[in-house]
Amino acid sequence: MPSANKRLRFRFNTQVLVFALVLISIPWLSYRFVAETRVFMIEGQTQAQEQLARGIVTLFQGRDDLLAELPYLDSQQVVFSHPLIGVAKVDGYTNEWLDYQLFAKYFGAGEGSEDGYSLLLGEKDDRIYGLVRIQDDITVQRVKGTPRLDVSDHLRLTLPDRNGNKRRLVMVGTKAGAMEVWYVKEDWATPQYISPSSSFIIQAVMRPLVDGYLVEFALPKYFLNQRQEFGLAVADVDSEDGTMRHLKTLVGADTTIESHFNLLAMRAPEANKILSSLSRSDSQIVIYDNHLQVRASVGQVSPPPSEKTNPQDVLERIQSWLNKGLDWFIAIPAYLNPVQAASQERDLLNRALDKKFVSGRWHKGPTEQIFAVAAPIVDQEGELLGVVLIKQSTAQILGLQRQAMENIALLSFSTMLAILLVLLLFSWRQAMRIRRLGKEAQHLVDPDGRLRSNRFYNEIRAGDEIGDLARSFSGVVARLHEHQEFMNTMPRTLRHEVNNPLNAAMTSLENLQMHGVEKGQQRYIDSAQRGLVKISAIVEKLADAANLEEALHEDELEPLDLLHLVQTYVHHQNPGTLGELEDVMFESDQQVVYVAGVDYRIEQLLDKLLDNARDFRAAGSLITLRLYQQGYDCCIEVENNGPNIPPELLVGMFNSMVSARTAGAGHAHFGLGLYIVRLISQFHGGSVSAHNLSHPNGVMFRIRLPLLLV
Amino acid sequence: MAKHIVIVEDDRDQRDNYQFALEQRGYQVTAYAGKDEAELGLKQQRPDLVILDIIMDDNIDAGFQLCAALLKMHPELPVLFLTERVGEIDRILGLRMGAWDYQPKPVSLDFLAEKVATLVRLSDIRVVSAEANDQNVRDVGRLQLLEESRQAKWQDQEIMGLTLTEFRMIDALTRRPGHILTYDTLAQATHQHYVSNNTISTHIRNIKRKIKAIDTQFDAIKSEYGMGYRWSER
Repeated sequence: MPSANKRLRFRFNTQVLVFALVLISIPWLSYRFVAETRVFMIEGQTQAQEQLARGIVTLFQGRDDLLAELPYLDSQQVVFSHPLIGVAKVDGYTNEWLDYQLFAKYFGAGEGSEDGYSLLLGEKDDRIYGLVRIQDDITVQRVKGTPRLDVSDHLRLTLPDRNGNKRRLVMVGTKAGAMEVWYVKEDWATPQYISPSSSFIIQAVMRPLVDGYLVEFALPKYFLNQRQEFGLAVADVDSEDGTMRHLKTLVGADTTIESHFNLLAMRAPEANKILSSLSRSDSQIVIYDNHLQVRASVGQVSPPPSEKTNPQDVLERIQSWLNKGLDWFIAIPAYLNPVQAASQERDLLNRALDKKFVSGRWHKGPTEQIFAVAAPIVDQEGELLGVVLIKQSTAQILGLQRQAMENIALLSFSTMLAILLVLLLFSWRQAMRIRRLGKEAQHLVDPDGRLRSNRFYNEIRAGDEIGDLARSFSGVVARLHEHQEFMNTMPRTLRHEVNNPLNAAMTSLENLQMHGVEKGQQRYIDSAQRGLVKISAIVEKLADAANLEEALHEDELEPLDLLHLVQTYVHHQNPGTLGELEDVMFESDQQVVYVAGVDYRIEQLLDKLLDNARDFRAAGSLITLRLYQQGYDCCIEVENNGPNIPPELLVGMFNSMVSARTAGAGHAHFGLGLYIVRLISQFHGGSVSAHNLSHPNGVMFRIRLPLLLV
Repeated sequence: MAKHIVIVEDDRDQRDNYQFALEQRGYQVTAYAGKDEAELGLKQQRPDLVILDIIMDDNIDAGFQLCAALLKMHPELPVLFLTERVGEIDRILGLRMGAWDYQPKPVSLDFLAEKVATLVRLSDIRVVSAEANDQNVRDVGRLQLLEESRQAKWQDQEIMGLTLTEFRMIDALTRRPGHILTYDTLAQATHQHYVSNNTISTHIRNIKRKIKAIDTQFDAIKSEYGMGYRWSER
């Protein structure tokens, strides 16, 4: 019934798919848990940051002494130094300056113009750092050994000492890289000493740019006087004729460099002290004055980058790949470049200058998010003193997340691997068991479709479904085998059972005859005897076929002249009387054909084939018996004209009790003839096949027997 | 004095028919319906011939067991198995036990009577064969047929284990050497109601096998495939 089949069924593939999805969902759920935890932690951190900002604002509330105006003169410009993050290197590169690009101070004609320069000052530990970007269409470098120092592009630095004496320093480059730093006399051209200053004390490095060059320098803080004054000028020298060099322009932080100095604003030490107690490893707290100049700062947003660049051993390499994979997995899709990030920061500060408590977030890198809080610091009258900016990176949280992810990934991977292995082993074992069962089922039936055994041996004792299946199969096989045995022994049993009453009836008739019967009654006795003989013949035929396999074991194969056998056989089939038509025609061009065989069995085989051909041939047509050699085989073909064999019969027609004859066709037929033919062919190591013929219609049976190679 | 024949057959109809037929032919017949009563009765007196069925009641080997017991008591007693067990194995087993012949059912009563007569006569001849050698002997080439004792010799050696049916077939084949005997003619020689070609061929195979035990080169019985057999010595 179709309705019975509508039951929801999960095929094996679907089951595996569902199982795989469940497996995959384990790490996915873990990831979701970690991601949610990250959001929670970030929210918590933001709130903590806001609380901290409020606390700092409270600390600095009314402390105008900490953020007081610097005591610079009207003619002086203040250049603020910025706290440098990470490792500060004098190498001509701007990595440590990235956060302060926007704070660069321009001198000369202004930003982007020719003959100008920008200056950024920074401090770290006990040194002052400077980054000077000079725009110059022609860069003239010092030729070593030249006595004058003012005939090539150079930087002039004036540093008054604590006694009011001026120290004049010239930084001049002979090539890209380290610069020479000379103490010079008042003319800025003659060296004060015979050699440049030691690079251990003052370092300067030059790097050419497309539109000029860049100088990075560092000097000890103790070089500055109490007022922290300094003067800087850039001397641009262009060669007019290639040999003669002279000073073309002088662009200074102060045009009258000799009399005026710029003021270097350092971080307020008191404010720094207060902040240092609030220092945290993953956040930076910066106090700006109302001019947005850094007055105090502590901490740094991101931990310094790891020195290790290339993983050495295999484990590190794997970990590196794993980290890259995880970074990709938890990556923040869009992030700001340093300039954009600085702009965001400046925006926050500007809003804080409007006395607003503001916060913001932006992405610094693919795996790092910055969140910042800017809060205004006001005095008791409500005047703005400065701004506190707290920046914090999610790097630590992300680091924790990554570590958690690593652990989850490792645990999930190990678990999944273990489950997969167990699953593989399990499915392999199940497959093997099913295959073994299938193989046994295949071997259980011989090529003739008969059961070789009455039970299954594999998986019978198993307690699972496969065991149940094997036991069910075994039960079915036992019943089928029983039936097969019954069918096999049935003809013999029948003969045993029939022969006794048959014998009683026959002997009774004989005794009746001996007593003497009346005239006219004898024919009834004769009729009864003929009937009994017919029954006897039927039983005998059935039993002969049933016993054939057993009887064949008694026969011994001997060299047999098959050509002679078939020739003699055909000769005896045809009438010797003149005028009568031939029945069987023999065709062969062989001289001699030997097989290992039993002559009367081959004869029996031919009897059956000819009986069959005679029954089905077209009336009056001749039967052809053909013998020929093909390779190492010889073939006997028996061919008759007549109806084709129905296709549905072609497959099983050589089995026992299969007949194409209609019931009541005269003689008793039990469909045993072709079965006997097959048994005898197989006993001789050969085979039999049936073929339908057309034009004209007919049937051909071919026996193929192996030749005896003499 | 009438010869004493004992019949052991569990089927009453058949038992009565055999008894009646044999008594009509002048034999003294004692019939038993089972193994145990037969064994008891035969202890008292040795008959001239015993006809045994094999399957009796529920015992499928009753005849064989009885045969073994009887031959132990009377080793020279002629025993004829008359049975529905017609398998080759049963036949061989019966003859090896020492039975004189093995006759499958159904059987013609005339043939049974003749077989009984032959076996009784053979028994008598064997008893007196030492002093009397006046048998009717027929020579066909290297073959000698001793018609009284139903024995045959090839190259003066007795062909061992030849059954009455096989003797009859050799007899029929050698009546007209060189001529073909069809399967039907040979079937008549077996004196059975229905005999298939295959049964004839099986008998011929057994005859050849028994003569080849004396002479491996024996090939006097020629197959005329599709028709029958012919006796033709080289």
